Amino acid sequence: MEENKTKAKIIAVAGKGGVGKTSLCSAIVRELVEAFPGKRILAIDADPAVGLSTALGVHVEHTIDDIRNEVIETSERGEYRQAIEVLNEARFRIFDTMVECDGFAFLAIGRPEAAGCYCSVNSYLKEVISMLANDFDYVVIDGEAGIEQISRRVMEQVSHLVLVTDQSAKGVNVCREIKEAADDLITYERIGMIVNRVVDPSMNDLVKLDGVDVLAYIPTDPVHAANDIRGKSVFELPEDSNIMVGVHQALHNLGIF
Amino acid sequence: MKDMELYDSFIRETTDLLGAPTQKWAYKERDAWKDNGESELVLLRDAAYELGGGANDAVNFTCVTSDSSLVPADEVLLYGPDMKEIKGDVPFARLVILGVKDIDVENKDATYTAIRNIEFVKYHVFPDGYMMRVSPESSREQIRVSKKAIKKGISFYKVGCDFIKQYKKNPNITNVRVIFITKNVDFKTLHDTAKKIDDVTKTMNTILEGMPEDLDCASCSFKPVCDEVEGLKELHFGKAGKKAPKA
Repeated sequence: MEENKTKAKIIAVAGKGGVGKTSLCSAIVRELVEAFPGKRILAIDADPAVGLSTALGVHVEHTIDDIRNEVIETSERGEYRQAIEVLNEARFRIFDTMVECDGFAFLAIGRPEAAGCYCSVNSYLKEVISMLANDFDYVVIDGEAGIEQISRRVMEQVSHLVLVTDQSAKGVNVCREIKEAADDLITYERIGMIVNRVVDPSMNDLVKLDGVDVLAYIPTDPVHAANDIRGKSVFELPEDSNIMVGVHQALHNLGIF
Repeated sequence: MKDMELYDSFIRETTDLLGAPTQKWAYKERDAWKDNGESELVLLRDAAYELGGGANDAVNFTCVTSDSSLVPADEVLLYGPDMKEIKGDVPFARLVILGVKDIDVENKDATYTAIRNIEFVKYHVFPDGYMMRVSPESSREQIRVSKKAIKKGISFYKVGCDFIKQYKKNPNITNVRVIFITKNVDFKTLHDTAKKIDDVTKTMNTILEGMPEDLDCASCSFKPVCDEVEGLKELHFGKAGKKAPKA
């Protein structure tokens, strides 16, 4: 083999909607790419809101949902396949769906056309994560807002769970719910919380969650906002921007660095 | 045994289509390329090239026969350049002809298990630095060959020997011919053949899984396949202890 397989570090980013998960996730990918250029890094956009590709500057043509739909169409045509064949077909198509960029690979869950429920594509995503996890050294997952993907065990194999909140009680409450579900359903190794978009540092002491260390407090980042509105990727952010400094600190405190 | 002759016409047609190989080697187990025993990810950045990659043709099929004259020996055939000569993505096909011992088709479970075991060996071959992506739906097979494997001296002969080594672990397999194609040939015909072979295999699997004995052929979706390929109706109705209906 090219290298001996080691257990992948699977980092999932979760939290309430609108707290900056996708931005932090993209910054984590950049940090890993720069710190470990020889390692295999996979970024998964598991949020149907679809934003990680833009943040990373990746052009996506196909998604995991496309594969799932094709597999369903095949079974609906009544074409009988053995499990091992279905597995190989999925693996074949996943590599067509995967975008290989400079230093990392990228997969997007996509936006299911059937409105409302993402259960089935979440189940498929869980299988995809299982299939690919050990082919990579690091897997970074930008999770759907809220608790759904934790409670449906999509994140079952996550080793490092990063909760994200802003300075709001609602944000912290969602993190608490995610932690409680994760404690029941995931055998994660490390957990931590990033307090993002800090407006008033004097309020930081109030943003806390029992049993979870704060990995970093990241002030509101006007440089990142300007970068974003100009359509630039995270790789074009200055190293000393608030978000890059904060994420570096968070990964250090999480034991990744 | 009729069911293991179902693919014989495809084997003959393919042999006629391809003609003489560029290179041909007799199998030696000691020359088999290292097998990792599990799938390996070769990223594009680590790959020298992808056989069948991009817009190139890519085909894979496996035929089984109990006619020993069609596979008289264990051998690897190559049509086109070998791995060290290839500089970029090229068209690719891997075709396997398996000689098998007679299997008792009246013993449904034994036959079904034997055929499945033979069929699925291909999913358990993992040559080092040779990442296979197999699509049963499209009969495509694409291979990423790692730069490291090229440096280590990987070749189609050695990979072919690994395939043969893995196939020969199955006690029902007598001889194996592995054919690699890395040049432009009549891929359309090969694709058509792959599709027909897949249809036969699916039909045979369905029959062996337990098709109703009193099934009316006129209402069966596999009728076109059974009409074209000799032996399928006998496999079905022979098993059921009835004579196949006349066409």
